[in-house]
Amino acid sequence: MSDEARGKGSPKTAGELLDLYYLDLRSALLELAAGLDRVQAAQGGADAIQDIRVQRLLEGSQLVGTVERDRALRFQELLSGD
Amino acid sequence: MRVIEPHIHMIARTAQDYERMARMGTVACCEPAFWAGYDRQSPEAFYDYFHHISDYEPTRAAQYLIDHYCWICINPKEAEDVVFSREVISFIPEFLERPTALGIGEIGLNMNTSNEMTIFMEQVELALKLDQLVWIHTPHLNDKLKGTKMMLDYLVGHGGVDPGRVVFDHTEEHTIGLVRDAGFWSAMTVYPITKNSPARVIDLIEKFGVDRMIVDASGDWGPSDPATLHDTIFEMRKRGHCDEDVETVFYNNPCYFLGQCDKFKKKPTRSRDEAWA
Repeated sequence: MSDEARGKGSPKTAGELLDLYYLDLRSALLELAAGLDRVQAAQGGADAIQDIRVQRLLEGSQLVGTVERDRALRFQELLSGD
Repeated sequence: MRVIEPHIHMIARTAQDYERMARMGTVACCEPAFWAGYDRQSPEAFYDYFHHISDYEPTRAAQYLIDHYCWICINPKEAEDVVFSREVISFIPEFLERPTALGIGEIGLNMNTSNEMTIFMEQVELALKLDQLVWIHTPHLNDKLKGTKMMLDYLVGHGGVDPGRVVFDHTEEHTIGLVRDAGFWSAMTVYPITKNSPARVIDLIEKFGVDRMIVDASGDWGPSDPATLHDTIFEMRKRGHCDEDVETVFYNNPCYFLGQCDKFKKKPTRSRDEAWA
């Protein structure tokens, strides 16, 4: 048995977790979008938006939308590749 | 519920933080030796620092009914100068004899350099020689995965290290599985911006289980807050976990690990086998 399998999982249903966290998740994504707008609109924004850190965030957001599990783990591994 | 804060740098916190911690249920806290926000200019500065965390802080904490313990070491952020580090290491054994010193920590890596690794290994050897517990700092952000693997490779390959006597701190999604698969304890730090959020900590507890899991606020002089530990307790309750499991993570688990040192006085409320079943 892998170590991961030892966890009991959540006592809550998926629907209950979505209700609990939806506004937090919405806020987190909105902060990313607004933050990138902010950087791009500033003087030197065209260059800054090409910064490797921004590119990693964009790759990460794409990854979150495409992989089907372990999104946080995959995002952390992506950021560890610099 | 009583709470143990397993990692906090009270030298950088105010009396009001002690008071808040006490009001939130903290009954004991542990202060690993670490960077002070600047590089010390002499080994003697470490001597004074070790004296502070092993003598003065327990007195300050006691005013708030909190037991204060410490860990002693040369930290990885100031371990690049090997000669300097060895001077500090020379007087570590003296402080390990103090009544509130629990072991060697937080040793580890910062930039994952060979000099840092040399000093890490020498302090592991010192811990083994003196039969001390070990508290390990894993690097920040993008350096965390590589540094964690470097230290794991060394400790697993060593052959003489009992993983049940070693904690890897600041673990996150990409390092916690590696640490646990090798049999070590893992600690997760809850910070306002970097490291973990309360929700992500509970995600990992749900994924991996409550055994060998420690959570800390790791408050220091930077963006951090002792309350993040208690925010995480509330998060675990909000997520529907039973009081027994919450107590296991935030009180009993620190007792199980730290209690391997006879100097740690708090006792768990139930057996480890029962709590981890």
